[in-house]
Amino acid sequence: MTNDELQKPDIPDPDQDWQNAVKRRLTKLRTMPVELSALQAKVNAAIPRQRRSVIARISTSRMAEVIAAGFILVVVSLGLMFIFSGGVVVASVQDFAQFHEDLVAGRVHAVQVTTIDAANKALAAQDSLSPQLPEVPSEHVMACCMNSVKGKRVACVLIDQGGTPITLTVANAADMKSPASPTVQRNGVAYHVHTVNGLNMVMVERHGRWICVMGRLPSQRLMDLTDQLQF
Amino acid sequence: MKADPTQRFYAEVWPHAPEVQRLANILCQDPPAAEDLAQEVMLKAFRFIDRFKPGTDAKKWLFAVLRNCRTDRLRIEQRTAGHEQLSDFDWEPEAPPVVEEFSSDGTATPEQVLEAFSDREIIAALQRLPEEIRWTLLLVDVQGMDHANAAEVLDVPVGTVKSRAHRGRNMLREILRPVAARRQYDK
Repeated sequence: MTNDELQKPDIPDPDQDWQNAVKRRLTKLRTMPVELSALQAKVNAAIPRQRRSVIARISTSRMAEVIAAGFILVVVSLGLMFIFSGGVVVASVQDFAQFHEDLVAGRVHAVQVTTIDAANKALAAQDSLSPQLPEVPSEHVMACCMNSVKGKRVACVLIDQGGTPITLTVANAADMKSPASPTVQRNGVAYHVHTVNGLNMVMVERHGRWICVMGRLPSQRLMDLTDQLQF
Repeated sequence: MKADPTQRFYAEVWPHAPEVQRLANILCQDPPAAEDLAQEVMLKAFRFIDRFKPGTDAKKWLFAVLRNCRTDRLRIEQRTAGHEQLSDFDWEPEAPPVVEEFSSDGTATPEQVLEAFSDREIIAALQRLPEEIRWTLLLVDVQGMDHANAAEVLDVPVGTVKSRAHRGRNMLREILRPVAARRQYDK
């Protein structure tokens, strides 16, 4: 048996606060910005990407049909948006899921912060019209950034809940609404619940703000967290 | 139909390049070495893309490749440069001291002590740890992997990962706490 195995991690540690603090401090390194341009250039040179784009695969004879169909699709989409949206855009579940993954992986430029107050200040410095983030009790705040979804401002903050990264995004309720989905009623509030590739997200409107909380935790846990938000 | 390796690489492996580069930055002493290591990992991942099973965890697979590349490099370095201990590097903490948030009676919470250190200083402290301990902390704490997945990457039992993580955090504390105390004293 090695020395490693002799040490029992389950024995109560009088310095547990230090253990937790070191873990949390190391977790913050995950949001450190990474410069990828040199690596990207070298890898692209060694492994050229496939040049056969979608357009190249479509024969010339079908190009006119594709363009016409695309034009009609755009006109119809714009018309529907004009009729139904009234300035409100529908959140794309796929886009938000991708954004969460990018934020967690450090592919999105984010500012490291440790409190919601600091996050609100950092976001306000970037954009004076940034939606205000609600207070998140007890969780560890790691990073924040602004995002634009179909031209609407979305304030985002990455928090750590027991080692699981959670993204909280906030928009003005006048700007954003949830896509149609099953809803769960809790305390008289309707939560829209979605799952994309194992990533759960709950969406809700509270205090004039549209909230989306997402992460690899059960939806119930995400709703618990949303319930605790302080506006 | 068999998927094109290039397409597979860019669709499944390349999205994890930022994490590979980040770990390489923390593992290596200088940026060019980190860049070289990350490049080697990505090219090796492409060369052996057939060994990556679709639908499995690409990040975990990539970290295992990273670990192999890093181990090979350390072996070569040790053969050419004698037996320098990885934990023997000098550590020059960054100036200026940042202890403003400490309370007036000199006590500070562990969080406050650690927040006073910059990312670079935390990384410098990590680089003083033995390689196996450092890897464990990188996977479990920095990357947030669970113990079972980290154990697979490191090819050790789960219990070893748990105990190494525990020891590693204690070692970091022992490296950083005297520096914090000295800074507070100097202030």
